Amino acid sequence: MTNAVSMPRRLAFRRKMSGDRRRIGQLTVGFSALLFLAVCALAVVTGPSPIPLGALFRSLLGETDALSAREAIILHDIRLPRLLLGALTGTALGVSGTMMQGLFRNPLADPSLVGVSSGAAVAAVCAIVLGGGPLSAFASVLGNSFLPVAAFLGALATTSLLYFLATKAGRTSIATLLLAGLAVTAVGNALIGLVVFTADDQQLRDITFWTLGSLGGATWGRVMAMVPFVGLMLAAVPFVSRGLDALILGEAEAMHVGISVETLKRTTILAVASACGAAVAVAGVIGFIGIVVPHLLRLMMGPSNRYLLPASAFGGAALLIGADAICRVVVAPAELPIGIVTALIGAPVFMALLLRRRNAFGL
Amino acid sequence: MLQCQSISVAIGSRYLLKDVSFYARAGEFTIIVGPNGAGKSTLLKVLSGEIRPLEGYVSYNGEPITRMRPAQLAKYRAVLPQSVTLAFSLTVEEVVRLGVEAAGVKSSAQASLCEAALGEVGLGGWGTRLYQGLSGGEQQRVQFARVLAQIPMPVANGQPRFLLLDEPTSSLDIRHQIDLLERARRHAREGGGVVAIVHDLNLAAEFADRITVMSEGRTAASGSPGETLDDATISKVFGISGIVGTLPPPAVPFVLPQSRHAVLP
Repeated sequence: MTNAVSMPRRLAFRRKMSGDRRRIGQLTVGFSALLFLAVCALAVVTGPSPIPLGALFRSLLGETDALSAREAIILHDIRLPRLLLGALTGTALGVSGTMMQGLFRNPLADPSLVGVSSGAAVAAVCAIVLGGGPLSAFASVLGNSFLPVAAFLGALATTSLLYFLATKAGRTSIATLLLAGLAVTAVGNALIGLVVFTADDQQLRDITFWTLGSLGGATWGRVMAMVPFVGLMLAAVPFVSRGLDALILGEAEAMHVGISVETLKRTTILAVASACGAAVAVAGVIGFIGIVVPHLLRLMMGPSNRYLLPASAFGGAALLIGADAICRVVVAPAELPIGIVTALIGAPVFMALLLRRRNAFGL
Repeated sequence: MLQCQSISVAIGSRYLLKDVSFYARAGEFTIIVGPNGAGKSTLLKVLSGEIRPLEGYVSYNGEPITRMRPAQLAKYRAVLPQSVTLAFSLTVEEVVRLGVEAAGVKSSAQASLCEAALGEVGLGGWGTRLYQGLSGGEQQRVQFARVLAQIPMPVANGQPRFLLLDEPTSSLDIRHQIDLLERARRHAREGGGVVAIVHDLNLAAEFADRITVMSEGRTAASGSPGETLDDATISKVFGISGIVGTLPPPAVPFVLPQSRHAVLP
């Protein structure tokens, strides 16, 4: 093809993608998916006992003896469940951050920041302590799902409470939201303290794990227990993305363009609670993923939820898996709590957001 | 026809609307005027389905609004609010696209419809700009383009479609006020219905086929501009008398949009 022919074509392409940013959106989804895959590959091979990348590929292609027996066991019993758990948790946190920000019409709404994770943690801690006693019947029936279900209920209660506290006539005041989050977190910590007071030693160890956040407890059972909850949230994505886009204009305006706003709110709250609850149940309170990922993606592609939600799924998973890999490597053979790494990455982004928009918030 | 009957809306014990009946016929430009706090915007919100009245009912072409889902309602009417604050930074085209999607247009035709709607409000080629960087008047025109994109045909499936405009001219200069109202009137001339709240009585007098004057949550007068914009009604509702059809003292300049149709001597 000559230059003369290709020039107008390229110009036409550029004209088309400005203004309506759907093309950039699609590219960003593709890019974040690739990033996710790359991070996955890196995370699988890195660790105290490295697995050669070449051998991993050959074994993926069906070569049975590409990996040694020891490597195969490490891969199957340690790395893979941890990788999948990280992917599910990161997806849950990234997408629910995006959804909450759309619902509250505010880029600072994040499950951990406004207390949703805290509510889930309270419920999970109660489940640990009461699971052995008064609630043992539920615990034995639900098995591995007992904790996620409890955390889901805690997250659902908190999200609904926050929505009613902070939203008046379709407007969410960021000050009210953050303060309500503080209050919810304070209540949560008090309740956890109360439960800790009555807990035995083993329970105490389990509870401490929630306050730090870690993917260290990954097992296939936990991965499987989490799948339906994250699946529920992902299934909601196509139903809420246009509604959340319309909500950018405002609640009444969303109704004017044909969105059933009440249904949208309920679906979104349910999806967020489901995924956040499950994420907290298996990995503890991990902050900032839900605020960093959507923010960076919006800078690239604009706020359209149709592409932002899938991109946040991949981006959240990639960031969490990457952060977990860092945790495993920097002080090997010990591990850093992942909350430290995500907070170190996330808090500066949060501060930058606040700085940039503080005038708009009147804070 | 867009009709509502014996509408009452209250917040606590205070009535915003008390037993208001109102209709807007297809083919007509209906304008609501009245002082601040008269209940004009509340009435428009009842008509758009945004507020459910305490008493009374609303119907579009005979179909009660309570039986329509938001998506269906969005095909019968589009609403221009007084002002819109975006939560996130959208481009002009993305704002208009929300209207196009509500109209149920297939995605291949959406881009050209966005551009056409922007062209109608004199903002052709502005699709790539960020909405938040525009002036108040430009934002209002973008929202009007979104409204036009949502109701692209004044009549569809043999049924008239309605535009509900809440102070559409509030932040526009006189040129764009006239342009916007002329575009809205064209919608009515082609068989659709238009309801607009307008504060400028001169513009209302020129463009309205019917005027409803509201005062203190009730309908004070209703009829053609000649019947409603008379001295008795204006002095009763606004508390200023002697301003209808009277020229000011010779030293005071005055600007009448209607005068552009006058035959110069």
